[in-house]
Amino acid sequence: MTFPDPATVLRHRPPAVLVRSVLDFSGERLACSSSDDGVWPWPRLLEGGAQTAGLLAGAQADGLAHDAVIADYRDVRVLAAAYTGGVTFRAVLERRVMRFWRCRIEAHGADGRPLLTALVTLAPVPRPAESP
Amino acid sequence: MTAPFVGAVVEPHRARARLPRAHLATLCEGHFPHDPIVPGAYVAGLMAELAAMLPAVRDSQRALAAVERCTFLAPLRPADDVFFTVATPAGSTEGVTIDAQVHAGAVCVARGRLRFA
Repeated sequence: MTFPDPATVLRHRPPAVLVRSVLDFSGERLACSSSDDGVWPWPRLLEGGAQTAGLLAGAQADGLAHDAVIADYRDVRVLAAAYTGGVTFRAVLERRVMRFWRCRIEAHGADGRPLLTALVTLAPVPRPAESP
Repeated sequence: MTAPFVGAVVEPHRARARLPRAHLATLCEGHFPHDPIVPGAYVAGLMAELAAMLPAVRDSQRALAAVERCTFLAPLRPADDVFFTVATPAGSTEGVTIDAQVHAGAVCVARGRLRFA
């Protein structure tokens, strides 16, 4: 399966773009390489994982638009406070509830070591017409 | 990443501090060009930084183990009245559990629970 260049899909712009290229895509799973091999404090790892999840949710049939927002993070396990080097981000679709998509995300170092795992819930941006 | 909290008030079980607009704007660079919003992951990181100032965390030299949850109620945009508050809930036993909230003016935009061990 093919996947478009993340830079053409994400509404993020540098320096906020934290994924560079798609390494693997199999419908409900997506792996991306990191934008750089610099320093990755854990919040930056979490944001990179969330961007990968956003790309994955956006690629689904009837998936989220690419201006989706983060509704919540859960069970974020910080396995490394920071890491220096290239990172691989993985996202797996876990469930969909109405228009909310939940993905499990992981960040791994260049040696395969897990750095962070989490669940992220993505939501569509509320439109004015949807307001009560 | 060390947050330049301003006017931090640290008590035994509670801390509160303001984050300057300029720092929030820096966190928004590229996120997004026409609608700057602080990335939620960075909001969670800021919660953890303030929580680390609490005596229960600081004095025991515990490290952040998990963000059990962090829920976003509204977008956080750069402003002059963004305050972070952290507190130790009564009865936490395993490690140190900290509850956190972020307010922009009177509006709670995010809340979370973190665990240090």
